[in-house]
Amino acid sequence: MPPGVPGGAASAAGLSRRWAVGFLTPAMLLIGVFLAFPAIWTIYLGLTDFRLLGPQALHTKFVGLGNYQQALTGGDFLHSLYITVVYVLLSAVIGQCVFGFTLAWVFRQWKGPLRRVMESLIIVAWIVPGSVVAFLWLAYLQGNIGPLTETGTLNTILGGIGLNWWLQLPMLSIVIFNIWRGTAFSMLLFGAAIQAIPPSYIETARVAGASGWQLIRDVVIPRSRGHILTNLLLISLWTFNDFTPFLLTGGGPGNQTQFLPVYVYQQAFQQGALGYGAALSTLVLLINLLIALAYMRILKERR
Amino acid sequence: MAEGTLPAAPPAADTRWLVRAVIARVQLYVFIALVAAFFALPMAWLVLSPFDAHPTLVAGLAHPTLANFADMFRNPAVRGSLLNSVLLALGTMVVVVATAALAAYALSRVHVPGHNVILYVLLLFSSVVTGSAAMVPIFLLAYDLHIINTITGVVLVLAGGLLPAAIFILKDFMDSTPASYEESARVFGAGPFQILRDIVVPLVRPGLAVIAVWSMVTVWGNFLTPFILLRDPSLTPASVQIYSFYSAGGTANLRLISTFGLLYTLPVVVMYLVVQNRYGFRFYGGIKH
Amino acid sequence: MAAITISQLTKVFANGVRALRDVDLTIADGEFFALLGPSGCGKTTLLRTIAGLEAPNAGRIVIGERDVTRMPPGPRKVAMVFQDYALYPHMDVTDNIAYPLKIQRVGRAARRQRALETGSHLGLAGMMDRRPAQLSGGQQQRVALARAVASHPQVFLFDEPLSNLDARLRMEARTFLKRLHADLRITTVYVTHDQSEALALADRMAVMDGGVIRQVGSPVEVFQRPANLFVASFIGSTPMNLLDARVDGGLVRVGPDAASIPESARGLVQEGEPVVLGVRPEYAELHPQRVAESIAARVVITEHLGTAFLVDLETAAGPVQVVVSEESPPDTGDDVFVLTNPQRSLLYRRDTGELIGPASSLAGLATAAAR
Ligand SMILES: Nc1ncnc2c1ncn2[C@@H]1O[C@H](COP(=O)(O)OP(=O)(O)OP(=O)(O)O)[C@@H](O)[C@H]1O
Ligand SMILES: [Mg+2]
Repeated sequence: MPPGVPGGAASAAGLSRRWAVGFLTPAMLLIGVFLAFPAIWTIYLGLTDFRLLGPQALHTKFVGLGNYQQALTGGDFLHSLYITVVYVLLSAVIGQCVFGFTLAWVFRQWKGPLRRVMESLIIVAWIVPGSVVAFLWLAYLQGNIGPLTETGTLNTILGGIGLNWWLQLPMLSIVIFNIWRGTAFSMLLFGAAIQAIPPSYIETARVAGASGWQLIRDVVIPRSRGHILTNLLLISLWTFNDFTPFLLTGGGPGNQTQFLPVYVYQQAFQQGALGYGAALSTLVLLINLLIALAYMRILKERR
Repeated sequence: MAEGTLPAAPPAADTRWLVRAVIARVQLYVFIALVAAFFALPMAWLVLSPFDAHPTLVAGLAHPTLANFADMFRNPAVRGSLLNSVLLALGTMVVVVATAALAAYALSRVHVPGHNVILYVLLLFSSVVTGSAAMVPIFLLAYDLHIINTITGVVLVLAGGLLPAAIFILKDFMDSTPASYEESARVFGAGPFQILRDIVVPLVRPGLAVIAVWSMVTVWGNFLTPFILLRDPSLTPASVQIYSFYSAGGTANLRLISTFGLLYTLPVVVMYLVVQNRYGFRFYGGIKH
Repeated sequence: MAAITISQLTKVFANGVRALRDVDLTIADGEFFALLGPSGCGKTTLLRTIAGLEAPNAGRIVIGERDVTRMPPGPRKVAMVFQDYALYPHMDVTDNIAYPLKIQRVGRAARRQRALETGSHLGLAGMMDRRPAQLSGGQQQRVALARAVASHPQVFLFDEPLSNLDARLRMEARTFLKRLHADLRITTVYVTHDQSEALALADRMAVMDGGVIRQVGSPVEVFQRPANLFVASFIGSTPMNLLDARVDGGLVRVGPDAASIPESARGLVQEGEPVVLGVRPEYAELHPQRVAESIAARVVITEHLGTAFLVDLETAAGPVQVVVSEESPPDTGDDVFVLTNPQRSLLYRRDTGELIGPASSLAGLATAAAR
């Protein structure tokens, strides 16, 4: 920095460092306090037996790795983790990704109103608030037993099978729900990826006699690798952290849909075990970090 | 081709090709019809039931009426929660747009060593530290800062999560405006805030609009954060209110839920349509959640 | 109105580039001063430092009576016209021109009035409510000028304001600028890398190279008597012929041939001294036979310049170019003789590259120059 310049080196707009720091401070403060700090603080909280109520609420003890021991040996957490991974794999990695790609591929050459209507339909499923779609699906799949004693739209159409989806097939129901809800993102992203492939690539392959499947395998997928990985990362993270299952099933019946966010919520806020919940939070954060880092790693290698 | 040269019957191979093409077409339309049904059927209830005097769980319009809306507005919980949602969405939007614009401007105009790395780390943070993952520390933090059970608390927490992506996107917009605009203003004697107000903000208005809409839509639909941080029923936003309408025991009031649900959904769809028409899919697609 | 005095100005960028090295320069009140030099020589940096957009590492800048070295740009009362004009795309012409006045807290009605007056004066009357995108390049350029004029500065700073215009508009705008300056008499610093612009517009000019000012003088002085080999090779539409030579008797010996000693160098050189003979292509003649002290050459190629021919020649001392009138172009392969004009040719010391003899006819004005 040259000596004697008022306020240090100035930028194009005459922003000295001091101004720049001033401009950055509010945002950095918010991010630091409400994003970065909780992520670090939870590591400490997870080492205590902090409770909302009861004797520990007053006298919080340091319990070391006790919470983690409880999580990793108790069975509940591992069950939760297992079904969450299955849920992510089935509904996001396979369901949304494959379905989204298929839709983008089918829509690729369409213009005109039908395509717009279809796309809007799919996108609306994605943007309607979670607590509304949760009820829509509760109603849609309702069988004739349970708290709502009527039958929903789907069973009415299927006619008297009398399947109570939410009670009898909760995992499948929730997987289908999530595919319905989240496919739009994959479709849009893959649509952009396919648009970005120069038509000459596709035409060349066509002229060489490639079938549709060969075309996708040899031209489209290799050219869209970045988009596919971005998509996988984002939808995996979102699904892994999705709280909507709580609105649908509350984790039940039993613990069949007790995905990690639901489990953390129940432990921390319904059981009041905030120390244990903080340890669980740490674990979820670690898993999120692993997903993100793995993705970045792959993306870097592929470049 | 002259008519006289047309063969009396097309060769067998051609027929097979034609049949295959027709089958492919039919398959395509069946597929599309199934997709349309898959996406439309669950939604049908939301579109029809609000206009039915006696809605059931099956989507239908047996007794058309508009009375449900009038009834709904008489419900104080509905009015209050919608107002709370508006406060949350607008509050967060203002905080995010204002602080992100300032930060993005500083990052875009003053050389901070390694600022790209910083931005990527922040972005990584914001995608890793989700509401679900950090609900416990966020709850306790809000508790210790005495902003639990306040709209402000929810606004600040949500803003913290949205800011990295907002800064990232806005910085892109700001980077693409030439420095000479600001330099010439500076030569005429304008100060940093004047330059920001008169030159930068008008130039990046599309970016600000995108961030504004995105943050409002995200907050409008957010359930978990207000669910955890707001215990007082009078502060509940619509997302949580509608859940309590159907999760509470007893028979769910389907007239209320359907009408409220539709009214609560509409702003999001409208904002989405505005953004899509103005700026296309790309922005929205990249930054939801 | 104000003179500008720059002393010992040094600017080193954060990446270590030394863009200005001990620059000394005085620009008189009301003068139109051009800064000329090859790309990257520091012209823009000097201009931006005067404007206050860059902070110098050392040295002083005085505008009028005030030392502005540490002052932010606003209070320096300068107006700058950028190469890309920097017209605000979201404001119409009126608002663009009035923006400096808005910053000076002139009331809305008053500044619109002044914007309209200035705009009309610069031929923008019919387009005051258009956006910059709806204007041609020449019109945009005039809006940028109008904005600078409307701010009533003490000093105008122009950074290659005509370089985005096509050749014809550039000629028009040049005339326009000249008239504007004649009207307003505001001290003007004008950066260009187009020497014809500098020659046409400037009262005085400086030639820069590598962050150093190599010569200051009137366009005529700089063109006729380049102070050193750098300026000699840089100025001129066709580069000056620079031939290695040696003083020999009353002549300069160029290879096997000889030319007469330039008049301005007579008596200032020693016998046998290594020198460089500088001859502008326009100031040499071609003869089919040897005449007096002339240099033998063979025609390599001739180019038509419109009103004259540029003849490329090969001599024993290297390539030489000569401009001849349209009537008598020699043919390729002809053997000819180059006769230099001792009143117009120049002699430089080979070791220092400095001009031998007075740097200008008005000796003294340019003392701060060549270093
Ligand atoms: N902001 C900067 N940071 C670092 N180096 C710079 C900066 N601006 C200019 N330079 C360097 O300083 C030197 C002078 O640059 P300047 O822009 O003044 O040249 P110029 O004479 O205006 O050239 P041109 O005719 O191409 O516009 C160049 O070597 C350039 O690379
Ligand atoms: Mg320049």
